[in-house]
Amino acid sequence: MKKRVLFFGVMALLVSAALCGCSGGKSTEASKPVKNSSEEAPAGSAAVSGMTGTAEAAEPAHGGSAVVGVTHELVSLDPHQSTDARTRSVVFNLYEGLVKPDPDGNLIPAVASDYEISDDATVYTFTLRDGVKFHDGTTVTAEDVKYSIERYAEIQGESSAFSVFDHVEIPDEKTVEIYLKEGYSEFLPEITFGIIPRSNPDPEKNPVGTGPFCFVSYTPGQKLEVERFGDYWQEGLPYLDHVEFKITADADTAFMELQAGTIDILDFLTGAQAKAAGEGCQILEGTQNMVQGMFLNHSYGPLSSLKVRQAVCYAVNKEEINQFLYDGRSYLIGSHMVPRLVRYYEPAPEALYPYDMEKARELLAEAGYPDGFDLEIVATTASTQYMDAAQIIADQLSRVGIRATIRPVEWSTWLDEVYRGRQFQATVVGFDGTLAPNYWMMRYTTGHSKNFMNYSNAEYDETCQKALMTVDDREKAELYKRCQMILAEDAESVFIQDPANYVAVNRRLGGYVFYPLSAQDMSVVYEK
Amino acid sequence: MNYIIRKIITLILTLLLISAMTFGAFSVIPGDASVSRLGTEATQEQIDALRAEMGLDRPVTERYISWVRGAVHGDFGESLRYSGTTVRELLSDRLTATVLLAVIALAMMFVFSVPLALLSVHFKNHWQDTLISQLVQLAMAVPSFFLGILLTYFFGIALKLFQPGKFVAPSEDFLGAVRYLVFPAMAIALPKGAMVTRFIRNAVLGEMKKDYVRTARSKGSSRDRILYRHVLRNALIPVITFAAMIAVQILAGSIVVEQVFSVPGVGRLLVSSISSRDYPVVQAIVIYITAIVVIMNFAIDLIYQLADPRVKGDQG
Amino acid sequence: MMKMKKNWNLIIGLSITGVILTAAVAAQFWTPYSVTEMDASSVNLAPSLVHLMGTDNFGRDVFSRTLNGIGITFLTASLAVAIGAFAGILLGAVTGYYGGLFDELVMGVVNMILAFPSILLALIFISFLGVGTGNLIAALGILYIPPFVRIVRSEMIRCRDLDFVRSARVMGVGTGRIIYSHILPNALISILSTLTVTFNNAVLSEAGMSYLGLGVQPPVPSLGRMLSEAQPYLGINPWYGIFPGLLILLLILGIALVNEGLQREKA
Repeated sequence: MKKRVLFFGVMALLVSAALCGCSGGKSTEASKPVKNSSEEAPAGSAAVSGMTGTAEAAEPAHGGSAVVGVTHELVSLDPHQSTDARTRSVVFNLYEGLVKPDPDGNLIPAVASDYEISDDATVYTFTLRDGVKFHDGTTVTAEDVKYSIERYAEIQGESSAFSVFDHVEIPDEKTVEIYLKEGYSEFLPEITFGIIPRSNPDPEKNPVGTGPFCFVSYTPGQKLEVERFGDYWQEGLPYLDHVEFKITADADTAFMELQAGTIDILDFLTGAQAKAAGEGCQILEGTQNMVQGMFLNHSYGPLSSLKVRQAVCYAVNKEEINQFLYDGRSYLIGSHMVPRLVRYYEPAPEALYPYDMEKARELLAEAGYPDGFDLEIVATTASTQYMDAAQIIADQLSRVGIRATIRPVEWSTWLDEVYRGRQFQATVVGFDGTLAPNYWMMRYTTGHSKNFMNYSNAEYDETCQKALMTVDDREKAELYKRCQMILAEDAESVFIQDPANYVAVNRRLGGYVFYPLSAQDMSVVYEK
Repeated sequence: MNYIIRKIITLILTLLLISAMTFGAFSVIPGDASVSRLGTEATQEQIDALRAEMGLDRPVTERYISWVRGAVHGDFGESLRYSGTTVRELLSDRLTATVLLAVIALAMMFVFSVPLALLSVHFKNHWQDTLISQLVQLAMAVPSFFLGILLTYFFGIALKLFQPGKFVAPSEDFLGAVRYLVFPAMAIALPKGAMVTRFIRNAVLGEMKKDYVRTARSKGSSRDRILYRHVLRNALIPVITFAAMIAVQILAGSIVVEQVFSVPGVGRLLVSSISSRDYPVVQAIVIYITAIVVIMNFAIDLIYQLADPRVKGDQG
Repeated sequence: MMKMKKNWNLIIGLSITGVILTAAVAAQFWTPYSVTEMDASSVNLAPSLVHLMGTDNFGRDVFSRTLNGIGITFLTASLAVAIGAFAGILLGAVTGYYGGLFDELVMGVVNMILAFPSILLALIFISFLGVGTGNLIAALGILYIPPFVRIVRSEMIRCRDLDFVRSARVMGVGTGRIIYSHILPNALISILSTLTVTFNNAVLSEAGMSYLGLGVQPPVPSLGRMLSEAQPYLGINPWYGIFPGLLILLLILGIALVNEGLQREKA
C-alpha cells in the first residue's frame, strides 16, 4: 500500500520537476542585444533626434533590421483602398505618389521630379523623374501613372474628395497632365497615393510600388515583412535591410513586447508607459496630429444653447486630462486644427476657455440650467485614450452639476450610430491629421454629410467656402484661421488636445522622424 | 444503430439552428463589416461598393443558403476584415494555439489531480485528506484570470521566467510555444484541476460505499486490491464524463485566460470578429464550438452505453 | 453514539460572506474616498495608511473602489441568479409535474444551454445586445435558468408518484398547492445549493466579462475591469491588480464553503 502512494508521489514530483525545467530556461532567442555604443544620447533626452530632419554627423551604416509594433490591423495593402490613417502609415514604406510629404508637412516631388500648377488651379502638370523603378524591376512610365490615377479615382468614387478630378492626359512619355473639373487649390495632397504598375493584376495580394521597401510577406493579424529595395531612386536609402511590422491586437501587449525587446519601435505610448519603458529604449516626443475632443450634438436640447456649450468648455479642465493621460506633454488646442500645420494654425482659440468652474456654473444658470442637466457621453471601446478621457471629463463635469454618464460602444456601432446616425449627445473621439485643411473645415458647413454635430453658422459657411476657392495660399490661410476662431467663439465643441505621441525606439536604432500626418518612415532609420 | 442515427441528426439540426440564429443576429445589430473597415472618411459609394464586394447587399436568406452550401464542403468563405484571407486559414492558426493550450492544461490537470485524489482517498479522514480538501476548496475559488495575472506578475515580471506577450507560433518554434503556454495552462488547470480532484475523490469514495465492495472486503480481499481493481474501473465512467465536460470548457476557448496572456487563440478571434462584424469568422467559430459540444456529449453518452449495458438508449 | 460535528464549513462560509456583504453594503453609502474622483498627484501609489490599498492610474483610491465594486458584483450576481431561480423553479416544477412533449422540448433546450461554457454564451449574448450592466444581468439570468429547471424537475419526478402526493391529489388539493407545499420543501437544500453554485458562476462571469470590457462599464467600478486596468501597471504597482482579485477570491470561497456546509446538512 505504501508503495502505491510512493509511486504516485514520485511521478507527480518528477513531472513537476520536468515542467519547471521546461519553463525555467530563459529564452535566448531575444532580439539583438543592445550594443554598447559610446555615442548614445543621455537618458531622458526627449524630442531630440526625432523632430527635425535626418542630418546626422556621420553617415549611418547600412544593413540590419527592425521590428515595428503596430497596434491596429492593416485594412488593405492596396494603396488605393487603404482609407484609414494607421494603415497608410505602414504602407507609406511600400508606395509613393507623384509627390509625397516630408517631415515638415510640405509636399516634395517623389515619382515626379517637378510640377506646375496652372493659374486657375485647374491643370496640374507633372514631370516624371528619371529612373524610378518598381519593385518588380520595371521602370515607371507615364502609362503607369495614368493607370494609377484613373484606378484611384474609380475606387474613391464620385462623392470622395477626389471627385474634382476630370481626366488625365499624357502629352509625352515624361509628362502627365491632370485636369480638374474646377479650380481646386488643395489638390496636391490628394496626389500622394501610390503609383502602381499597370501590369500588376492583383495589387492587394502582390503589392508592388516604388517605395524604399518591397513586399516580402503578409500574415493577416500577425505581421507584414518588407525588405530593402535595392533600386530605390533616392541614393543611399533605405539603411535597413529588413523591417517587420508586427501586428499585436492591443497596445498593452505591444508594450510588453517592447519591454521584452521583441519590438524595437512602438508609437502612441501613454505617459505611464513612456516612464516604464526601460533602459533599452529612447523615448521621442511628438504629437499625434489628431484633433481630440468632446464633440457636441447641437440638436440635443441643452447643447443648442451657446451659453451651455460655453459652460461645458469652461468646465473641462484640459490640463488635467493632459496630465493624467499624457504627462502634460500634449498640445492643448482650442479649435479644429493641428498645431504642426503651422501656416494654417490659429493659436488664439487656445486661450478662449480657461478652466473656470465658477464661470461654468454661472453660464449654466443664465442659460436656464441652474441645476445642471444630464449628458450622455459616447466613447468607443476601441481606444483606451477616448474611454479614459471620457471618464475624466465625466468626473469634471459632475463638479459643476452636469450629470454625465458614459456609454461605451464598439467602433462599428460608433460609426453607425454616432457618425452616420447622429444619435448621440456628446462623444469623445479624435480626427486624424491631414494636409488639406478643407477636409476638416468643410465638415462644419451647414448640411455637409459629415457634419454629424448638426452645426450651422452662416458666417462660417461663407468664410469656409471662400477659403476653399482662394488659390493664394496666404489669403487662404487667413480665411481658415478666421474659420477656426468662429468655431471657438461658438463653442462648437470642446476641442481638447493634439495628444502627445510618445514613440519608443530601441537604443540601437537611430534616425526616427515625425511627420505631421500618419507616416512611419522606416527608410531613414538605421542601426547604430 | 438507430440511436447513432438519431444523434447525428440532432447534431446537424443543432448546427443548422445555431448558424441560422447567428446569421440572423448579425443582420439585426447595428454596423456591418464594410462600415467598420472603411472608417470615418468613407463615402457612401465606397461603402456600397465594398458591401457589394462582400456580398452584404444580398438578402439574408440567400446569403445563408450559399454559406451553408460552402460550409458543407468545408469552405467557410473569406474573412471580411482581412480581405483575401479565407476563414479556414485564419482559424487554423488560432485553433492550433487554443488546442495546444487545452492539451497542455488537460495534461497538467491529470498529472496532478489523479494522484492527489487517490492520496486523498487513501488518507481518508486523516489530516492529509483534510488538508488536501481545504487546498482544493481554495484552488476552486480562484478565478482563473486572476491567477493568470498573478502568474504573469510572479513568473513574468518578478522572476522573469517568461516574457508576457511574447507568444511564438507553434509552427515556428514548437518548444518555445509550449514553454510559453505552460503559464496560461497553469492558470486554467489549477481551478479546474481542483474540481476534478474532488470529483474523483467523491466518485471513488462513492464506489467504495457500494455493496459489492463490502462483500469483497468481507471475503477477505485486502483493501488495496479492491481499490485498484474494481472501484477504479467503475468510478472511471463518471470521471471520464466529468473530464470530458471540462475538456469542452477548455477547448471551447478559455477566452479570458487567452486575453490575459495575449495568446492568439480562438477566443480572442471571436471577440474581435464580433467587434468588427466579421460574420463569416464568427459563424465558423460558433459552428466549431457547437460541434465540439454536441460531439463530446454524444461521446459521453456512447461511453455510458458501452460501459454499462443496463443503461439503454432508445433501442431500435 | 455519533458525535455531533459542528458544521465548520457552513459557519466559516457564512462568516466570510457576511463580512464581505456588510462591507459591500456599507460601501454603497460611504467610502473613505470618492469612487470616481481623480487626483493627478496621487497616481499609482502603493498601500499606505492614507490609501489602504493604494491608488490606481487615475489617482482613485483602490480601497474605496474595491469595496464599492464588490457591492456591484454582489448585486449583479444576485439579480442574475434571482431571475434564473425564479423562472427556473417555475419552469422546472411545471415541466417536471406534467411531463410529456413539452418536457422533452424544454429539457432539450436546457441540456443544450448547460453543455455550453457559460462565458461563451454570455459573450455572444452581450455582443449582440450591446454592453451594459442591465444587459449583462439579463443575459446571465437567462443562462442560469437551466440549472434550476433541472434540479426542480428531478425533484418533481421523484415525488409526483409518491404516496403522500397521491393522497393529496385524491383529497382534492390543487396542483399548485401540492407543488408548493409538499414537493418543493424537499428540494429546498438542493435549490439552496444550486443557488450558491450559480451565484459563484455569476460572480466569475461578471468579473470575466468586465475584464474583457464587456461587463459593467466605467465609471462604475467593477472588480473584473479593475484587474484589466491594472495589468499594464503590474510592474509599477502590482497592488492594484492583487486586491480586487483577492476580494473576488474571498467572496467565492465564502460562498463555496456555505455550499459545502449545505451538502453536509443534506447528507
